[in-house]
Amino acid sequence: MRYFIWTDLRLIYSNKLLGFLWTLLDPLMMMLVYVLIVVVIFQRGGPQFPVLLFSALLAWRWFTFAIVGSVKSLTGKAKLIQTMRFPKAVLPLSRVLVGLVNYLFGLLALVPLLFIFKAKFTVHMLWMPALLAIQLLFTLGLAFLFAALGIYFRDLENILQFGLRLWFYLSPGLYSIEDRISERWVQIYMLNPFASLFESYKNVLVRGKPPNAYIGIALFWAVAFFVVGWMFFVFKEPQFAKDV
Amino acid sequence: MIIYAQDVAVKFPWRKERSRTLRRTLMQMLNGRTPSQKQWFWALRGVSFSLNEGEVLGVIGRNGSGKTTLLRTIAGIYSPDEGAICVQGTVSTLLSLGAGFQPALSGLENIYINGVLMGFSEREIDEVVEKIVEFAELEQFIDSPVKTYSSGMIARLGFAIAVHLRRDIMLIDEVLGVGDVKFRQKSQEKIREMMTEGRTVVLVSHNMESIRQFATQALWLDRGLVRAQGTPDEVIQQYLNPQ
Repeated sequence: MRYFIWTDLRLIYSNKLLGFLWTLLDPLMMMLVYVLIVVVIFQRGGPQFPVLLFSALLAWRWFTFAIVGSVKSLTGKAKLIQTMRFPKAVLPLSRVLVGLVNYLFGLLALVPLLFIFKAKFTVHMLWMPALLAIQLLFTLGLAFLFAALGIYFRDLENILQFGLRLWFYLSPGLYSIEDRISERWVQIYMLNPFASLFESYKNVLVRGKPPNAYIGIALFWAVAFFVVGWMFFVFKEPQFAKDV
Repeated sequence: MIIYAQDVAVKFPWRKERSRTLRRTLMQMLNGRTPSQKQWFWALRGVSFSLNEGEVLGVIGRNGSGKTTLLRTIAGIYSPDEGAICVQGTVSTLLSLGAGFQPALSGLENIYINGVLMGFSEREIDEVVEKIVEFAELEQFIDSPVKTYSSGMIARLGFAIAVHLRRDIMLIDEVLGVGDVKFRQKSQEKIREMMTEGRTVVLVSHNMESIRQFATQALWLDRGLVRAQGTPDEVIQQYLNPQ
């Protein structure tokens, strides 16, 4: 397992400094694009908008990296699966964990932003490991699910790209819930695990507040999808070598 | 008994379309068509044999007769759809050389990745890594990325890893044609050495000489069925002169 993560990291960071810089620059540039659109063109977003956006974007990058990578994690290693017997779960798992490592590096870029935009440093930041654990569980569940489905539907990746984009706009990354979502819809809106996750990241990192009140829903989805994804993966695993 | 197979059968879906896509599946559902009845192709059917420790089973047959499927089933890569197979001990395979290599990483790193995937610990690999490099004759290049290797170098490295990181049971699929003449001789010698060591081996080969020489029993597969089974001489005799 350790070797898989290490291998993937080596591949990403193989250009030494450049590879490392890219994982920092990538979410930063994404943020700048959104800042250009929202702050400069639409003249919206508060004074802390860039850092609020970045704290959500960083988590979202981890999620998309893991899910998109998982879809091809088994089909990309077809030859290996047909010549060796090993626990196939390491393939999507390593993708998720590599994404987590990237995320942790990304925090290096977040810290200066927290200072620049005068975020509140409070004890609520200690919630971060718990929030990351919820997202990890949720991401793992979907990663297992999509890794297995990726074998049977070769065009899944294209649809997923679209779905993920839509999902991001339906989550409070570019806006906050109070500003944009009316009371009537909040209950339904919060069924999205990333609604409470994004809000919670913003709360504990920037606003100096405790996590969002709906974080329990995200935890519920995380556990549910982890169990379902894992069971589906294990159920289909004996067939992978034939179908891949 | 170290390997025991009873009426083993393995089937594959008979695919008509090139690959399944979500788009096609949805279109079929929208048109009210249920996905066409699955048809199966039996790669193996009713295969039974037993192998004791130290015995060598030679498997012969034409291309596409199920030899590789049989090896993969013994290795646990495929699970039998009918019957049962019982393998006592750990299996190492010489199925396809260098399949798991990461092109961007060095040869040395790939030795470790391959070894770990095969279930060896880092320390066990440490012990043989020098021998692997020496056997593959890659001392100068072992720190270069594998993508810069020639196909012969990749095959040599794959072979060297497979023969040095060994398990109780070896499965060998005609990889005897590795690299240039000199290396081929060396690899054949190595295989010979392993066979005479009293290791349990399943050997798939088109070379009747090596089957005659090493195998203690032989199996002739024909379109997934066992055509003949017994001593190597008898089976080869029937294979070469079918009635």
